[in-house]
Amino acid sequence: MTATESPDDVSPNAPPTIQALEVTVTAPLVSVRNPLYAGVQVALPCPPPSTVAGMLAAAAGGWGAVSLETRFAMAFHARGVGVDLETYHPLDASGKKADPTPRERGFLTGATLTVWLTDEIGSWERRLRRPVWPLRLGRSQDLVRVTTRRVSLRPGPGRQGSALLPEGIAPVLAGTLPAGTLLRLPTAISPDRQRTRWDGYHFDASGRSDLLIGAEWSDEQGRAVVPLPPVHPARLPAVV
Amino acid sequence: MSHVGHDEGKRPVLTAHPLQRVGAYALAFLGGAHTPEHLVPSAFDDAVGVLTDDAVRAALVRDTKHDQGFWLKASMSFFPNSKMNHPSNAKKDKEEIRTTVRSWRTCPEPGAWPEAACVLCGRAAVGFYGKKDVPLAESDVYRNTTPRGHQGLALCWPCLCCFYALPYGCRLTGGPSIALHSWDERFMARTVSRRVERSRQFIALGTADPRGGSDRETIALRALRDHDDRLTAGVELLVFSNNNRGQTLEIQSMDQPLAEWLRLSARLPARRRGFRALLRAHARPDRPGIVGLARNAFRSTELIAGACARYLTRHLDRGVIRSDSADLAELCFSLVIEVMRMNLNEIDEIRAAGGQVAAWLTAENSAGKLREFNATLKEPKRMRHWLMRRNLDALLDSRISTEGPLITEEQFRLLFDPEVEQAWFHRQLLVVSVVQRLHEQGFRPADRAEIAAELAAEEQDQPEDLVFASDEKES
Repeated sequence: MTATESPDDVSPNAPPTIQALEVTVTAPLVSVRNPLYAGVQVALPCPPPSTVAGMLAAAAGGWGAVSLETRFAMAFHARGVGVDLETYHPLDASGKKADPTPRERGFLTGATLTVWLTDEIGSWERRLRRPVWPLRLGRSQDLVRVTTRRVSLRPGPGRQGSALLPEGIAPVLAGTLPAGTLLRLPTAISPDRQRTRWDGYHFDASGRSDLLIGAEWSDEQGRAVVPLPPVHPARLPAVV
Repeated sequence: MSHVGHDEGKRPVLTAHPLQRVGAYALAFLGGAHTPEHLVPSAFDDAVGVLTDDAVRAALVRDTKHDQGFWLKASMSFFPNSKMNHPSNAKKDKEEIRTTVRSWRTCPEPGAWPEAACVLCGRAAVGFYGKKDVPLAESDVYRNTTPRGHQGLALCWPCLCCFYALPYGCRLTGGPSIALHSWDERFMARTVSRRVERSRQFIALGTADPRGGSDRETIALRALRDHDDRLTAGVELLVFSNNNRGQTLEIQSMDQPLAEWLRLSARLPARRRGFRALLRAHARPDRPGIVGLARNAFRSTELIAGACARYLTRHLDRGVIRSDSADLAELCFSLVIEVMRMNLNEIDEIRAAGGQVAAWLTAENSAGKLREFNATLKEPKRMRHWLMRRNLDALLDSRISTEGPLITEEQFRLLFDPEVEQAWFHRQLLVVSVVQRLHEQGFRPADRAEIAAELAAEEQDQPEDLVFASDEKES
């Protein structure tokens, strides 16, 4: 992650900070399906990086408008979980009309997603103010609310809280693991959906972990800001 | 397509799909390897041969209600309407069934492979597959979830065989199957290999496990406590069915700290003693403690701590401190520290307050005073008032040997400040601490022996808990 250095008028003893765009996405209802189980609608406890990346690409007008180097850090918290019945409409390959089927689908309520971008801040600020495509998180019928603000990130560890952390990143306290669950989530999906990059991530759905994470950056509230792997589909190898 | 060597094309690769991973370990074990990466090509072929032979044998039974029809019946929850269990098999002769099942389990010729990469590992796919071959996949006649032009999931031969081997890594019930999954590879190797041994027996015999469908969470708990190495990841319990009547999947997750704490509770001598009490704390007249504990472990850690507190305080109204109180209290505090990651300073403060209260109660040596204190647990106002009042009494009473005030300002804040989110839990911990210290100090009110005898008669360990505690190595 390249950084825009802070202005020179700060104290010479203060650690260097970088400017970042903090994007806050809120939605009363979010549903992010686990793509591994097509026959059942199991929900993930947080949006995978590929979903967040897709939302950013929607704001920009498609992946063609997004830099190959795009990376971001993210945190997510939902106030509750639930299960609903949705009508599933099978798309029959033979062209026959298939009967709609009710299926259970998990959802998250009172969701807040925080995304930190440190590159092309001005550009992302404009894109998110006037997105090209509607912004959603997993359910086509629910739009999200997006706000942005510029913040300073300082180098050094931060509190885990509700951060999504790449597998391998460790708390400052030696011998411990980040709180919560280890998940395998899609990082990038090719536009034709034939290839997916999967990575391991730690996520604590409670958001209560005070563990100090050996992060590259932390925000003004001491939250860990950890850049995730690159998300641009064009970076996926043609064949693994 | 990737050009992989012949050997690499026959080696299962661990992917992000939990069911594929369970199958990969099962396949490895069937081939005599400890992990998928150690499975050599010839052993891979041998393992696939075992899968095919078992499938043929089950298909020839034809009737799921036959004495040896268990594997045929169970297969419908994995590969419904496949060549193995197709309704038309009833009218086919043996040779025809053998041929069709073997054909189903044979790698397609390279000329028939589609121009697609395996969706799980990226190697060359040998075909497109749906729910007949891959549990919980979409039916191959639907196009909702597959890429444009794909007639189902694109899978390579090893990944497909992992799904064929999946049942061997599961607890088979004939209905929904139970699989344990973790990102801890050593745990996977160990638990899946044990499960494969048992499943092979039942598949070969064609009969069901005589132990029936043991409580699903208990299976996970037993596997955790049998594991020798430190767990590096949590554990997922997957209960699923691919049956034609409806695919179902239920996932329950246990985080690494709790999984490791449960494992250690079988390893450290002091915790083993406390574990017996932990089972008692979760027992109900109609349910063994092991079932209650296992369920709480997957639902919420706080429920385990709550059960401990309730058990320790259950007979305080009669002035009785149980003989297993100290062991259980210590186990409870280890849970609070290692799993719930409660602030150590706060725990020290609460334990200090518990020590002071216990010293005051010991000096009083009255079952009535203990009952009085216990009754305040349900009402924070009463407990606050009780502590404030005794705080003053302790200062004025020369018989009481407490050092300093009964409760300090910081302790009071932890227990009663509305701003403290976990204050209710802190109050439970206070009582746990008081009981622990009373036990250590030999608190013995006059009527103790009589009441303890009554309790012993009332409460017997559940037979299933006794078996679990004494026979944990059985898988």
